Amino acid sequence: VECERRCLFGSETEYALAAVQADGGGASHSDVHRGFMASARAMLPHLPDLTAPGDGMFLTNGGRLYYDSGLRIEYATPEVTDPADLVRYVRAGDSIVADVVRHLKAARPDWREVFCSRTGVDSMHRTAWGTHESVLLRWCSPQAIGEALTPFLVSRIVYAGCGGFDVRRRGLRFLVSPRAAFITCAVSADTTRQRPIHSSRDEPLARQPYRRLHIACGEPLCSDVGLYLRAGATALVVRVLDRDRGVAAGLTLEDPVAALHAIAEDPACRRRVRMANGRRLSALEIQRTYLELVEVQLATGWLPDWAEEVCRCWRSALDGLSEDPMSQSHTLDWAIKRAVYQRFLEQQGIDQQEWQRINRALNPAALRRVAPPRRPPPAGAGDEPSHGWIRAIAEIVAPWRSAGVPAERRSAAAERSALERARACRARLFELDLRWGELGPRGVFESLDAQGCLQHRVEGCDGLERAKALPPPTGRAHVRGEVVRRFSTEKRPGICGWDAIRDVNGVVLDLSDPFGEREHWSPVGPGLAVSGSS
Amino acid sequence: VNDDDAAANLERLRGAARLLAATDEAIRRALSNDSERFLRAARQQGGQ
Repeated sequence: VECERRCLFGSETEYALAAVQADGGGASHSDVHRGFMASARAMLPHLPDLTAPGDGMFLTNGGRLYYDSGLRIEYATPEVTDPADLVRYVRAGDSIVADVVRHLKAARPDWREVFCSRTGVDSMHRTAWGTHESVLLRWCSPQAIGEALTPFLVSRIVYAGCGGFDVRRRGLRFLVSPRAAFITCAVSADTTRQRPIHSSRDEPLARQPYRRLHIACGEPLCSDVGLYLRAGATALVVRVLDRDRGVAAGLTLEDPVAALHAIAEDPACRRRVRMANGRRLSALEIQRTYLELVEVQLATGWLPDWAEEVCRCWRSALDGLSEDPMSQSHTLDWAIKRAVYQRFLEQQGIDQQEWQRINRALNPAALRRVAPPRRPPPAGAGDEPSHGWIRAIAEIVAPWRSAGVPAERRSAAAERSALERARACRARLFELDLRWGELGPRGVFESLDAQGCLQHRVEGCDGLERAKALPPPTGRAHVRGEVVRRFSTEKRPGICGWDAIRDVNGVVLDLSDPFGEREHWSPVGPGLAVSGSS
Repeated sequence: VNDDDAAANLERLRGAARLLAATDEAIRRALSNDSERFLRAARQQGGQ
């Protein structure tokens, strides 16, 4: 009965990693990433990963650190049964990666800076990083639960969005969830070439009857509250729908991807999206409906002990967002980010109206309208894009003319200066965005947190040093972590996967029971494969 | 306005000032001298 009450889940964080050379240029991608993995192998007790022995490893905390097929550094937490543990193990991963980056920096004194960040998108280069989540299913297949779960995943960005800029626009538009701009379909088995909300890939990494739901629309979060809420609410909703997905009847979205984009574009959290039955609901209303579906199950006794606390925290966040979304500007990632970016614009003396003018001027239609038809730029006007921008700036300054702006500010030089100011300001905001989740004191979030400005901690999520070295107390992750520690201490060769460990003699430890807590080694049998994929 | 209200208002103002100062400090610490150059150098950072 106790096992039935438990949820099991984990998450992966992708890190942006780059190095700046002494001359200010970028170091090669493969040098930096190979250097990172070499440092990790040198300093972390581990067992090599079966699927990528040179590029991946399982750690003594039961998690996995690897160089992913998408050419990114990635850390996967061990499987946990409690959202507080999820927060603890995600932060342990951040700290492990930061340690490896420091080791790499020491090994490469010729690099001026090694930059590593938990970031959603690089708006300048249109690159995205994600946080994939895995949740154990007992009864449903990933495909079957999809329709009932999708509206929850689409609307949860009101508390689980990391905030950032819309890469689809040339100007500057803030999104609650910048990854939303990359999402192209509701469901797909392919999470590399396509960007689904959740994956239909049926790769359980566990024995029957267990299945694994793989959610692909998550973003790296710096706020512990945001992380706790996302993990806890998602695990509870999946648990309720896994048991009976019929309870979400009437919550189907007419167009999930369009709804995701619409909600992401609305920091006021008021926009309503169309459901398949014709009703129009806001993200907060959809979330409240799911919350109530979970709350009515609290008394039944088959939800975990922490469910009540997660529901309380979930309701409190929704109430705060309903009253005033910016009331969360000390707590939730996207709201903190928005407040800081507004402050940055104030520092630059740029108000909302001016940004709106810049955005209007920089949108492709406006640029086409103001660009000269197929004529070379005049001498001194710079390259073609700049020339287009210079013409575009005429639109920005046009309202000043009617507002009695002195003649000297309307000169070509003044227009060029306004353009340069807008470009520089945009680049600085993009740098700020990229450095938001940077590991180390330069990171904007870490800096704000260190100065005591934020209220994002969750009680019971301490014990970071322990979580870096030791596995969670229960389940196969505990067994895995203990065996990795023992093998690495004894310098015994072996290889590791999520559902098994194999020693040098081909003897296998079966970890296919996610809740199994006994070490049972046996000779390799038919059908017992070791899985390392995520 | 009684003394308690005045003290609370003053504390709120001080809190807001501290927050602004901390935000300014975080921004100052994060930004490089040349953002466009940093963004170009950091282009090879993985991701899709």
